[in-house]
Amino acid sequence: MTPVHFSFTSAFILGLMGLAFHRTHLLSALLCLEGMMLSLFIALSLWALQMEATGYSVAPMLLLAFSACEASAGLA
Amino acid sequence: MTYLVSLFLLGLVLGLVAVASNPAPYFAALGLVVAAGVGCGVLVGHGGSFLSLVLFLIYLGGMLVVFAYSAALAAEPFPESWGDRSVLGYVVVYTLGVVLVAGLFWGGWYETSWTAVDEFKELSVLRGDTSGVALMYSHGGGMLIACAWVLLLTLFVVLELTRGLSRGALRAV
Repeated sequence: MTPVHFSFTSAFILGLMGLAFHRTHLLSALLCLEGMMLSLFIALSLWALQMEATGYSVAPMLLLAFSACEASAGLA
Repeated sequence: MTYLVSLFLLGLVLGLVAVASNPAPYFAALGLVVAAGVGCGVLVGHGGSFLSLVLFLIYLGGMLVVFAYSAALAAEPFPESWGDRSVLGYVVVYTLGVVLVAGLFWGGWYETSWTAVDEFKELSVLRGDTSGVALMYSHGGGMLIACAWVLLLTLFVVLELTRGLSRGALRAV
């Protein structure tokens, strides 16, 4: 696994563990979920950039739109 | 340049360690801001300047500002920072975990696996990711309509969730 892939994979797993072991605040669990979304955004963008498949650049934007939806639903 | 992108990758992992160790939401939001900022640096180092700007504007400027306001609503007099005993335990465990797993992969990371991939084959105004996103408006029109519908639906979901104050499912904030 290249260092870049290791970085966002470990970022995702860290966010997942933070979400699983959350303690008092629901808000900190939601922030861990946002961290997972961030690592997924970076992963999809780097995939489209490194493979030079520019058609897949749309995927991170759609991911961002849907994660905004789930963040607002979580905050409400 | 390679060194800079490697520093940004380290910043991303450490920023999410700071979020995952569950301090008070103030500090977790700060860790997420730092992680998103250096994540943008990683994307720029790979040639994705448009996607990096999108991340800054929408994620940091939109979503995290809303999170910061919500964290201010849920403020407590003595917020737990990363120096407090319980949070520090999580920070140490997560950092050690990342270092151990990185140690497993360390043997395969030679010099060239750290280089950023950004190829200037020719001079062009259109970068790859910018023209890729433009596809969303032409061939991806259906997905755009689906996204707009989902966002409108979320608006109504949130309005229903927060209606009713103390009579509804949520307490009055």
